[in-house]
Amino acid sequence: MTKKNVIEFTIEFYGVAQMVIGMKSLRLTMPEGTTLLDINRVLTQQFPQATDKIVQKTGGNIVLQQGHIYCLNGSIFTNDPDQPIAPNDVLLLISSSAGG
Amino acid sequence: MFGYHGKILVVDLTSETSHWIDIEKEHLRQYIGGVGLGAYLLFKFSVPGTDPFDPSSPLIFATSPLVGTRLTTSSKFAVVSKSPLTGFINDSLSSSFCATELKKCGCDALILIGRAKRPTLLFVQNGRVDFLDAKYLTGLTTAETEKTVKETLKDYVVRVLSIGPAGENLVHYATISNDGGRHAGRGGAGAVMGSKNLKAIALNGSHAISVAQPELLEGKNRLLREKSRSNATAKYRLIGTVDNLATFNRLRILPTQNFQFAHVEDSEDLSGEALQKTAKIKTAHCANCTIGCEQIFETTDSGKSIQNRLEYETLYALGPLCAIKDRNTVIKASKMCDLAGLDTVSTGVTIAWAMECFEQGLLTLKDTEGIELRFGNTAALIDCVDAISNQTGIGKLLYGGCKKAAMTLGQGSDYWAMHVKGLEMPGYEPRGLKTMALGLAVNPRGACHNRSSAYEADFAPGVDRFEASVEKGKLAAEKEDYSAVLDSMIWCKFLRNCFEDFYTESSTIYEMVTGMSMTAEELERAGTRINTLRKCFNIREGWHRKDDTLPRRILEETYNGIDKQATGLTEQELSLMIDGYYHARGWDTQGRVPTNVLRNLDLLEIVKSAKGSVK
Repeated sequence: MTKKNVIEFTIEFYGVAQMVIGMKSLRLTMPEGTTLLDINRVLTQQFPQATDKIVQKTGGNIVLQQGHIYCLNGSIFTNDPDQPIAPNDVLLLISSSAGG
Repeated sequence: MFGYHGKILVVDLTSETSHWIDIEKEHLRQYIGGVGLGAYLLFKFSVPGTDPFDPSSPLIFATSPLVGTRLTTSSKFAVVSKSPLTGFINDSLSSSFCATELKKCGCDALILIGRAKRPTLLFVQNGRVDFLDAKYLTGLTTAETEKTVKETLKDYVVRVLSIGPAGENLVHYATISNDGGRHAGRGGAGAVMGSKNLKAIALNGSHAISVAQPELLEGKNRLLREKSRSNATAKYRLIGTVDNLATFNRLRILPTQNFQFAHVEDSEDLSGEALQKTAKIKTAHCANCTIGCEQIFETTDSGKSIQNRLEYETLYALGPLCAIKDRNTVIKASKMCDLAGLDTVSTGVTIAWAMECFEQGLLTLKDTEGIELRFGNTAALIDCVDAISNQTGIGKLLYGGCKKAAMTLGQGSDYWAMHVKGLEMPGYEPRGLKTMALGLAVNPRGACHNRSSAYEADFAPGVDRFEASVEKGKLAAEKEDYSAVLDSMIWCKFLRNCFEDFYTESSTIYEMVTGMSMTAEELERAGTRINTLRKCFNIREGWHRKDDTLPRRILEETYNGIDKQATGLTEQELSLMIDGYYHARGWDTQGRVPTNVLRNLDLLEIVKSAKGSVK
C-alpha cells in the first residue's frame, strides 16, 4: 500500500462508546474506499470489548449495535455500512437516542 | 372493568366536598390515559377564558391503564391544567409510586377545583377525602413537607405530592414534587396547586387493579424488561441523559449563554462522561422501572454533602445557558430548585435572560439588590435561585418566567426572552435542528422537547437536520402523535427503542390490560386525536397562528455552527415548515381545525358541547 491510496480520518467517541472503547478519539489510516463496514471491523479487531456493546456481527456484516449511530462531519447521521469515508473526515460515534 | 376504574374523583377545595363521576369506556379508549385523558377532562371541565389561578380552574391528576400493572416503566401520571406561563394547556408527567397509589384509591383521575380557605393537606384514602389544616407545613421545602406529612399522619406508606415555597409563592414555573424528589416539572402545575392553597396531597389506596389477560401480559412484560436492560437503553443506564452535553456541544446544538452560542469551550467538567468519574455516587430507578436512568451526583458545600439527580435539561439550563462551567454549582442549584419546587429549565432560562439584561445595562445592581448578575457568575446563580423561590429581590421580577419578566421590564428585553408561548426553551438549538425548531414552535404546550420529540427525526439517518423544508411538517406531526401515545399509555420515553413495532406492540398490550379492542392504527389515531384536542383547547383560549413561532433571536441571528458555518433559521423558513405541519394535520392555513377533521377524529361532540363545569 502506497501513501497515495490510503486515507486518514478521525473517529471521536462519545458517551457509552467512549466508556467502552476507553478513549476519546482515534486517528486511523485505511485504504481509499473505506466504508463504515470496514471501520466497524477495525473496531471489533482493535477493541474486542466493543463487540456486542458497540458493534455486532450479523451474518457477514458488522454493524453498530442498537443505541449507537455515526455522525459524519457533524452533519449526516448514518449507520449505513456502505457509507464511504473521505480523507480527513471526522466520524462521531454517539448515542442514537438524543432525548433528555 | 379491566385497566381502568371508569371513575373520576372530583374534589372541591372551597366547599371541602368531593364526589365521583363516571367516565364512559369509549372515552377512556379514545384518550387512553395520562396526557390524553387529562386533556379530555381539562377541555370538558374548564370554563373557557378562565385564569389558571381562578378557583374554578381544574388541576387534574390522570393515571393510565398501565398504572398498577407490573409492566416496566408504567408507574406514571400526568398533571394537566391551564399553564400560568402560557395561558394554554399544560401537561407534566411524573414517575413515582404516587401514580399507583392514586389508582389504588379507585379513580382513573383526580380533579381538583376551588380554593381552600386555609393551607390544606388533602388526605385521600380510597373513597374518603379529608381536608386537613396544613398551616404547620407552610414554608417547608418539598422534602421537609413529605417527611412531615408522613410523620403527622403516622403513616409511612402513604404517598405524598407537595409544593415547596416556590409553589406557595405562585412562582409560575413551580413543580409538584412527589415521592422523594420526583417532579411534575414543566409549565407551572405547582403554582396552580399553590393558588388552590393546597400544600400537599397524601394518598393511600387499597383498590385492586385487575387486567384482562394477566398471563399474556406477564409474558410481554418479561420481554420488555429484558430489552429494557439491553443496548437499547445503555446510554440512560450507564451515563444518563447528561450524556447529551458533550455530544450536543460537539454538534454545535448546545444552547449557551442565552442562545448566543451553541458551543462552550472547556466544558469537560460538565460532560456526562466526566461526571461519571468525578461526581456520581449511585444510580436510582423510578417506581416499577427496570431501566434505572437516574444518575445521582454529589458535591459539598461548606463541608456538607449535597446529593442530587441531574438530567441533561437541568445541566444545560443551570450550566452552559448561564455560562456556568462548574459542576458543583449546577448540582447545588439543582438541589435548591428541587427543594423549593422549581422547574430547573424555566429557572435557568429565566436567569439567563436576566443575566443578559444585566450585561446590557437594562438591569442594575439596584434591581438585583447587589447581585452581580453576569454570565458565568456562580454565586449570582445561587442567589438568584433563592430569590426566585422566595419571591424576594430580583425574584419579584423573575417569578413569572422570562416572557412575563420581559413584558414588565420592557426596553426591548423580550428579544432575549427565550420561550415559546411563554414556556422556556429546552436544551436543543433549533437553528441546527430544523425539525425540532418546528416541533418547538407548534407544540400546544410551548417550547417542550418531550411533547414534540421532533429531535428524533433530526437525529435519524436520511434527514438533513439543517434543511428547513415543507416535508418537515409531516415528520414533526408524526413525532408529536407518537409522543402523545407514549405519554398517554404512559410509557417511559427511554423504553421507546425497546419496541420493534411501537404501535402494534402497544395496542396489543392495551388489549391485554383493558380487554378492549385496539388496533395499531386506532392507537396512532388516538395520538392525533389527543394532539388535536390539545390544540382545540388552545384555540378556545385565544391561540392564533402568530403564537406558533420561535424567539426573535433564533429567527434573526446566526451562530457559528459546524466548521464555523453561519447557522440560522429565518422567519420565512419557519413559516414554510409550519405550513407543512398544518397541511399534514389537515388544518387550514391559519392553523384552525376544520369540522371534517374534528368529525374524523370523533372530536366534534366534545369540542362543540363542552360546557366547562365539573360541579
